[in-house]
This record gives sequence, C-alpha cells and structure tokens, in this order.
Amino acid sequence: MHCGQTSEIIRSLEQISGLTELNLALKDCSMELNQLGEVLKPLAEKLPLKKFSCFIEDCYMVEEGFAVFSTSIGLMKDLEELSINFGEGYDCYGTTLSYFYRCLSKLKHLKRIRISHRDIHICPVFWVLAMDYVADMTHQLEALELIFKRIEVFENTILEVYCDTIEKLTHLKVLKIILDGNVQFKEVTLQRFVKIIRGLPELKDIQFNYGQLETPLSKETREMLAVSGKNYLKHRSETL
Amino acid sequence: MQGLKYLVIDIDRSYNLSEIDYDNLKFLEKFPKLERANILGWILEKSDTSDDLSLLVGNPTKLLEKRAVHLKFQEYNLAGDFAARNFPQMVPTISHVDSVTLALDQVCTVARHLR
Repeated sequence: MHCGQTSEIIRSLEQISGLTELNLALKDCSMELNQLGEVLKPLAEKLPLKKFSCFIEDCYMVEEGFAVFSTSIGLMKDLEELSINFGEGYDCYGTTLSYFYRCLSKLKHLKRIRISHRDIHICPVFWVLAMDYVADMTHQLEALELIFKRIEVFENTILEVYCDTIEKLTHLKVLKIILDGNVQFKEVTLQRFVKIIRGLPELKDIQFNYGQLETPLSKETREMLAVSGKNYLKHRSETL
Repeated sequence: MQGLKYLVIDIDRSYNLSEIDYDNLKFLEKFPKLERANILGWILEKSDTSDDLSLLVGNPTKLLEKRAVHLKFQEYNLAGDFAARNFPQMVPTISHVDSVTLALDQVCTVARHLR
C-alpha cells in the first residue's frame, strides 16, 4: 500500500452517495495534509456528511496544506458534528489557523465542534480572529471542545478571548477547554470566566483544565472556581 | 496437519515480497484451525466475524446487514493489503451504509517493505 493507494481508498467512498458519517484515522501514512484536503474535496461536495471526524498523526504538513484541508471541511454544508485531532507535526501559522475557524463558521448546521491541537504556538492576535469566527456561531453551537496539548505558554489574552467568545454562545450545553501548558492567567480574568459560564442558561457540562499558574490564586478566586454554581469546574489540584 | 494453529515461513535470502499476493496464499484455507500465519514477515490473522475488513474480503454479503462499517487497514496484514488494493472496486458492496470508519495505520511502511 502506498500514499496514492491511501488516497484512492478515501476517494472511492464518493460512491456511497448516502454516507452521513465518516471517521478517518490516519497514522504514519506519509500523506500530506494538502493531499488529504484534495481527496476530501469531492467527498465534501457530494456526500451529505453530518458527522466527520479525523485523527491525523505523524503525517506531513505544509502551510498551504492546512488551508486546502480547511477549505474542504468548509464544503461539508450539512455537517452537524466535527472532530479533528491534529497530532504531532501539525504546526501552522496564525493566519491559517484563523482561516480554519472561518471555514467552520460558514457551516450553518454545525452544532458540535471538537478540535485538538498539539505543539502549536498560539499568537493571541490570530487567536482573537479565530475565536471571532467561533463567536459568529452564536445561535447554533451546542458543544465546544478545544484541547491544546504541550503548548509553551498561554498568555492571559487567550483567556480573555475565550471569555469574549463564550459569553456570545448562548445555546452552549457543553464546554470543554483543556490547556496543557504554562498559563499566565490573571485572577480577574479567571473570575470573569467563571461569571460568564454561570450566566450561560443551557450549559450543563463544563470541563476547564489548565496547567501551572505562575502565582497562587487568592482564597476568593479558589472558592469561585471550586463552587462555580454548577459545580462542574475541574482543575489540577496543584493550582488550588 | 488439519490441527495446525500457527505457521511461520521464512527463508534465508532476499525475496521480492511484491510477488506475494493474498490469492496465492489461499492454500492457508486448507488449515481450518489456523489462527495466525507469518509468511516472510507478512502476518495473516484469522479474525472473528465482527471484523468488517475480513467480511469485505471473504464474505461481503454479510455486510449488507450493517449500517456502519469499521475497516482497519494495518501494516503487514495480508487481508488488509488485499482489501486496500481492491477497495475502490469493493465499495459498491458497502454502498448501503450510513457510516464508514477508516483506520489507516503505517500504510506507507508496507510500501517501503514492498519496494
């Protein structure tokens, strides 16, 4: 089997005209992301996919590849649920990252998003742009899961961006934010975050995990986080 | 040797593995109790009936009962390699399904192995 054959296997699914769910797990396939994007394009255009999940690890990534892949996802017009796990080796620039979320914002039926990034540098400026697109899905988004693994540092701006975004997602039922890395969050921003999630009327399930804080939290903030009103917040014990 | 469960064939010289094909290993079917064969590093495991890939290769009519299929193409699995090479032609067999899960694991390593 070779890369071309992998492409052929995926491309041949185009024949299943009623396919509504597609799950792909690609590991060590030496398949570039732009190739995958190109292969997915006809499927995205022709199949009535409502659920698409993709786990890609140890594949190859070039900047334009991320854009091609994003464009193909944006063509899945019936999509209700999306889960992407970008494994190791998927670095990307901020502009492309925001373009990815822009493509998602065009999907009018999208209700559930689960995105996992690893080893990327998040420039707050571009993260603002990316999350602005997520905030555009105000009335449709029911579940948002954003997972970041092995990130060097999360600046406080990142949490501020989350606050600005999440308070607009009034129909949110599930929120999961995992930040695996060093965080530089300020207490005042953490308190704002808690107040916002308390104010979301339909939120039933929340998980908010973050790494090591540079400075210990005050008793007041610890209590706010521990007794959030919904009692769903989880933290690493060392941060409390 | 009707009770044979494990079979390993190896030779002490280089061999063009591309000459090995799932079809010319059909003789393995003569061993009804065979659970695992290793032919020059290629592994053929007898899977249970819940393995959709095996069904696709060996008994595709059984797939007509399913709405969702899970196909795992693995390195060194001869059935998987055979299915992969013939997959586009086999897709009409599963054209009725709603859900497809494709797991492609280290497929290029097989290609390197073949070269």
